[in-house]
Amino acid sequence: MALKDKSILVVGAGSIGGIAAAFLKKAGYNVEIVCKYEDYRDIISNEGLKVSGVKGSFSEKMRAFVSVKDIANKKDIILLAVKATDMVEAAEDLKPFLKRNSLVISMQNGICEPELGRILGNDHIVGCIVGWGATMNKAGDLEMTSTGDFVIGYIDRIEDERLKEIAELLGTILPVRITGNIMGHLYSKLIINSCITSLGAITGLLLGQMMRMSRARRLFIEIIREAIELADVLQIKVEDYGNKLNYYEFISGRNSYFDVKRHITLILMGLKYRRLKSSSLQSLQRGKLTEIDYLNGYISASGREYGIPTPINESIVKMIHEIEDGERQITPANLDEEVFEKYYK
Amino acid sequence: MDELFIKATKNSPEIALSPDGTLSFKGRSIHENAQDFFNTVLDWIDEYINTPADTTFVDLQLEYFNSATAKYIIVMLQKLKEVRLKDKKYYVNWFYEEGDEDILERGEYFASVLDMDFNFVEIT
Repeated sequence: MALKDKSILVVGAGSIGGIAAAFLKKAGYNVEIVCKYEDYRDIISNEGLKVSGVKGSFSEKMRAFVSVKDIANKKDIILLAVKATDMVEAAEDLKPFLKRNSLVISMQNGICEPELGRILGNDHIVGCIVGWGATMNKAGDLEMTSTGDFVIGYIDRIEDERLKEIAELLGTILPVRITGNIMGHLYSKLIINSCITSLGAITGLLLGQMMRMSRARRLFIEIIREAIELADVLQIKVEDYGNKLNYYEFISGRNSYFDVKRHITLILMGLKYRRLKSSSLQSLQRGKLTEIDYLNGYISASGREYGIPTPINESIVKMIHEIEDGERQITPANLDEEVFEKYYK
Repeated sequence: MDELFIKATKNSPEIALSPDGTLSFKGRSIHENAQDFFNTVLDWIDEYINTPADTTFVDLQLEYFNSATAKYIIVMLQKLKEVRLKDKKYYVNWFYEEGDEDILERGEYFASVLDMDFNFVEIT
């Protein structure tokens, strides 16, 4: 069957899922989308998804549903672009709609692929890093804020023709790289998110404001150190982040020379991306749950499973849950918690 | 010690460093190989801080600079803080064009991470 004849379902009509769906529809693919809300469904069906930003402006109408359960037929390719917190439920709903050869592209933040594999079977899962940025200005009004690429790969086997077909499909949107080490790429992104997103959420600060503080930089370093020590046990070879930050080099060396180097790296990162606002912070400020269990939570849960201590990541997970439950304020003073003190000396 | 003067190019700033305590950086700095370029400057500063002038004025008038340059600005200013150990003074003047919030913000960021007082000078 030709790729253009395959049935494609995008689950999740946030900025990433919505933009992907609109680009694929524009390129002539057979695309349907699942969003969560009836009014949003009506906008997509009647007015279309409006895309703007760095790759131009256009709008595309398509069939939309409020639930996976509403779709009529099994699908060949599914782009799963829900929040990580909704991933398990979406995957359970998808089970009846998979064909023997269907592929589900996991576009969530954090590492969701192993859990998706447990629910749907590893044969169906394609790991994916979305390396471009987007935001939703309002329902149906989506903006691509930065370009980049996709990195895709299987979590348990080498590439095949089906994966190349997925590369061709996503290549309609932006360039695609196929990797034999998708877990290394996913883990790499997970680490940086566990630093930037989570520390931003507990402090309420932009990255630039945060990286001015030596305490925040110290925790940043310790989160990475814990994550890399765990990666060794998990037998994950962590890829460089953005082809620039090599985590192994970053944490190597314990004396003050290496420490100064680490701080300068973070200061420069803070300078370059000083206006970056944590997505978890934005979720908390909107009264929504964060994806913490799939970020630092993945590190601390795996650490517990394999007997590797990850006290910093564990404390951050606890703090963010307390903020979600209304038991803790978002404030830079969270960096002064006793549990962190020994890392500042 | 001698003065160090490096003429501006389209990718590198004019640098004028004088043992009388005036250290000036002017222009744009988008060096591909910032290390080679700034090592000369750092060597000069290493020598200067052994016998600094009573007052050191650092004038940074950069219209644009890349991340590699930012790294050397940090290292350079960090070194210059050492003149205080010899009971000498220093002043950092950070120049920015009217309306150039980006350069102003970058200066504020440096001042904050280095814990130094900058004098921000708007050029109209």
